[in-house]
Amino acid sequence: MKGKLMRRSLKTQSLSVGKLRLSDLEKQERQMAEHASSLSEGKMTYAEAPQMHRPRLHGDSSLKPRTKAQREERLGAIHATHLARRRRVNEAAKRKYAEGELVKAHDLLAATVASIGDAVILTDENGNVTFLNPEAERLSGWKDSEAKGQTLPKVFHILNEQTRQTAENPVEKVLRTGKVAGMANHTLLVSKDGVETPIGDSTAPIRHADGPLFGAVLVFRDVTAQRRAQEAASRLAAIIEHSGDAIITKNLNGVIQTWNPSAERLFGYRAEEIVGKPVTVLFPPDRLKEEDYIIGLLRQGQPVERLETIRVAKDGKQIPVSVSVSPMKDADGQVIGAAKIIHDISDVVAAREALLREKQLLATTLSSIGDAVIVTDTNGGVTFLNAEAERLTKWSNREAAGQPLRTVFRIVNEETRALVENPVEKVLRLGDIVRLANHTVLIAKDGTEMPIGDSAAPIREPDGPVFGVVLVFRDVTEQHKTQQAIARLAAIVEHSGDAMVTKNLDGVIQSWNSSAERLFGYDAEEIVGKHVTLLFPPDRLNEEDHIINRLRQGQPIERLETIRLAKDGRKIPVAVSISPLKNADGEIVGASKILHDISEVVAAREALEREKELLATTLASIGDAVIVTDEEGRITYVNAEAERLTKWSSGDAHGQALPKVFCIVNEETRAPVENPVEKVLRLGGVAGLADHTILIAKDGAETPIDDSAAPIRRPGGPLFGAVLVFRDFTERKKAEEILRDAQQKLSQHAAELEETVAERTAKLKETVNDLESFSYSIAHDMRAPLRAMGMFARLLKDKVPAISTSPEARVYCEKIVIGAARLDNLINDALNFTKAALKESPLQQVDLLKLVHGLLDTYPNLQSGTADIQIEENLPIVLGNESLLTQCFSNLLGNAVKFVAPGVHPKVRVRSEIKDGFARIWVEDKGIGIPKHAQSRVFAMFQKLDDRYEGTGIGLAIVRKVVERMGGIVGVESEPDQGSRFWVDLRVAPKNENA
Amino acid sequence: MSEKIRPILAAEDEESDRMILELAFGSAKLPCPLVFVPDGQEAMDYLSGKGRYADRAAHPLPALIVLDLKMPRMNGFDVLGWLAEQPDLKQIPAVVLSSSAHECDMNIARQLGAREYFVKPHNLDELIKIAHQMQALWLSAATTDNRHAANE
Repeated sequence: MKGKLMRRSLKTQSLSVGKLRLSDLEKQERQMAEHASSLSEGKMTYAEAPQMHRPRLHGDSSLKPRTKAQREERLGAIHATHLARRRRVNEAAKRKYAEGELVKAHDLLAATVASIGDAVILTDENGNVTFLNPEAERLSGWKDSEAKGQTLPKVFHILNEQTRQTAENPVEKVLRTGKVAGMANHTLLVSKDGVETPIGDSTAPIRHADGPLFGAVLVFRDVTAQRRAQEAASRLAAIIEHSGDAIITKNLNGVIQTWNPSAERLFGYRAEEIVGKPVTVLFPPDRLKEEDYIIGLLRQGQPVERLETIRVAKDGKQIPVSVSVSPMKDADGQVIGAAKIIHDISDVVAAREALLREKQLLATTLSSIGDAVIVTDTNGGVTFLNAEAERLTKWSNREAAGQPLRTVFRIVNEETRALVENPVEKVLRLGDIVRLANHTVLIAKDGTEMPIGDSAAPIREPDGPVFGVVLVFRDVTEQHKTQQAIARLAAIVEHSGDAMVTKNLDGVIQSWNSSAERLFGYDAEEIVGKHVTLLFPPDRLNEEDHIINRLRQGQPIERLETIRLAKDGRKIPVAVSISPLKNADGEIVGASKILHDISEVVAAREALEREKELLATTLASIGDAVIVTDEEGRITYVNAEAERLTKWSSGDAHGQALPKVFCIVNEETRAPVENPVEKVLRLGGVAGLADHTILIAKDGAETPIDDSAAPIRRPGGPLFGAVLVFRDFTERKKAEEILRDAQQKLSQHAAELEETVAERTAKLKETVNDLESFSYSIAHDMRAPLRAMGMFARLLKDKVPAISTSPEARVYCEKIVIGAARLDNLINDALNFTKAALKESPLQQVDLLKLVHGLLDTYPNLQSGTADIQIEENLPIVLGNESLLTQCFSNLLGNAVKFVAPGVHPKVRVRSEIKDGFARIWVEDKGIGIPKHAQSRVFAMFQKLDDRYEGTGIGLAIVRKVVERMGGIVGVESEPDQGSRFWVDLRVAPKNENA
Repeated sequence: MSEKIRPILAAEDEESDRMILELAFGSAKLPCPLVFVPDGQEAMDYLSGKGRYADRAAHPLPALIVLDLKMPRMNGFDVLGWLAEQPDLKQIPAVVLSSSAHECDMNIARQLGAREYFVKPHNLDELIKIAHQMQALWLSAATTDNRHAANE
């Protein structure tokens, strides 16, 4: 933003400089032209022309000839008059004496003498005044009457003009010599009342014809005018001689008559070589016809004014000149030649070219400056658009030319959309610079809009009438953005987490942001205008002087950590940064303060101190020896244990090189061991000490030690020291031995234990095997006799006539048969239970549907004739053991068909539900059900709930046992007389392993 | 040809079981005489014609061997195993008749070459049915031979 503004002001400046230069040059050029024309027209004399080249002339302007010709004419006329007068006086005297008509002559003479322009004084032969004519009276200040009889020198007091000495009285000379005497030049007549008049005179003796002299006549005149004319003529000559312009005269044939030094300088011809040559010598060949034109004008008595042309110098150089030619007339007004004033306008031409370049530059500048520029005429018609204006209005310079400004420059108010007054109309009305209102939007030719800022200024000559308006405007989109940026900055200040405060150099608070409000508890309204020391604790008031001093020197204060007071008197530790605030002129007018609440930092720092303290205490009190060195390996800290082991006191060790205090050798070779700190400092990593290292203490005592050294560095920073930690290995050695012993014992014990376990496991296996063989033996050895008992009892009953005919004997035999069968079942079930509990039963995938159907085919009590068993087709494949599952479901199904009311046809349903990887298999019957109180015991061993039904009371115990062995659970829901619903949860076999 | 009638050789250590077996086979009217040996060892001796069984005329090779499993000295499995290694004898069908309903016993028996495994039933009628099965499966040829022999 700043850059942009600065650039703009520079442009404006260069524009105005350009303008100034332009107008100066134009003015100068104009003046020169005017002077030249005045001179050539004869309106103005050289003397009058206030030109830089010419000295200013003084004198009576009325006497000054307007042209050289007139001047010469006038000079000639004066001279002629004088001669005529003298002639007339002499003739009159001759006549008087010759004709003898004395009285008549006297009267005539007296009248003549009285009326002539010359002063006449008559004296007697003694030189006493006898007569003064009126002119003599005027010049001498004496009256004829009072002068009569006076001596001539009294009345006619003359001085040498230059020496101021009394000049010789001409009458005395005449009377003495008897001859006519002239007066010396430069004679001043001093009148009676002291007025001095330059005079010219002559004195003649008065005598009768050939008679004695009887007086003298003194004729003189006031030569002031003459003298002035002479002076003027000589001055004019000097002017011509010294004029910066070449001044030449020529006759009507074009032959050069005179040639002044400037002409010599300008053209390189000396007067003597050019006078008499035709003036066309100076003409370039292609401009010869100009001479005809000039001569033509001259013959008509007309001057040529300021003809800008080219003339050729002697060396052939072409010189741009401005020529003014005036006709020269003789006394009769006949044109006899011309005076030419030739002004070298090389400079002017150069200046003009420079001007053109300047104009070009200005035009280019206008075209290329960042601001848009539109120039209008006095009617508000567009005459010029620069490139930026073309870009913003979308009108090209060409198509915009002549359009009314409001067509090209359409502006509306940003918010109201109302047309904004055309600034050019306003300028034309007010004749002064106007600025555009804010929030003005320019609507370009294609309808695009942009916010603009502008100003319009009248174009006029200095103090002259307005002849146009220049309208300067620019796209302020950027500026708007800048303003937004400023607004954002303000918002940042407002919402900054840090307190931001500004104050003036008197320390008076000027602004106060919301964080400051939060930090100190003062609202902006209550604190702005108060002195900033309100926030200072009393013991820190001198800080403000220091701050103000630094600010006056323009120096910022960076991060002064101090204490400030909140409104409630709370002390807040803060970090203060103060920057000088400068006004636009760069003067320091105040300061901005950023106050950062460092309570937490201070707290953290205190915590750090405590931490350090803690660490130091820890280091001092830990059992390990600790030595800290700086980055060069010099000891900076030794803890108590290190003191004990090295026998160096902390004070003595401090500053020592580490090897001196920490002297270590190899236990066996006694060779010095490399100092671990040196290694750390060299390698920058943690280093451990070799085993079998011995520390030799200051007193020569040796201690086996174990150590490690680590670099001290800030994270990622350079290493600034090392910490060496070591310990007395004697103790550890002992400890290690004890540990080794303990470990040995432990492993021994563990080995023993393992052995015992193996032994016991083997025994257990043996037992199990024994148990299995025992069961096996029972199966054979106990059941065989039973079977025999049953069979023989039946044979007795059926086949032996003595018994089969006796009803009593038949009943007894029957009892034997039933008892034997029951005992056989009992043994069989007990055997199965044992088998379920002991037998190793690996889990496999078992298709339950297939298994249950197999049961129905195998077991006679489950045949379709005996019972109605419905099996759902979706029974899953479970993870189980086929023989265990057979035992499980044969028991459940057997129970389901068994426990029905007498005469009821058993109805059983087998179905399954799958949930969370487990299948719940339901075996539901419509049987007698189980009383609630008994439901918890049905799965226990030898629980027979109803004596009416055959059974060993082991079946459900077997079910529970086998299900548990397969990792499942079993349960029952039952209502007496409603039926029982037994369920078994079994793991579903993983799908991908389905066989 | 003076071929002897081929008997059924039953190895059974239990006296009462031998009686019941005799009753049942008698009731079933099997054409072959039932010859008992008290254990596996005796069965092997009989089959190989050792010792007191050296006279093959008095002790002809059986048409069927019925083995109990649990017996003193040599059990049923031992006999089956041995039999499988006797090229002259292994073609004689051997079945197991045991009180054990253990699956593993059944599996072992089959693996060792038993043609069938029967669990000893608890009543005589069941046993008679088993005897009829044995006759149907393995004794029809023997029956014909025996009849021929009887006729001669």
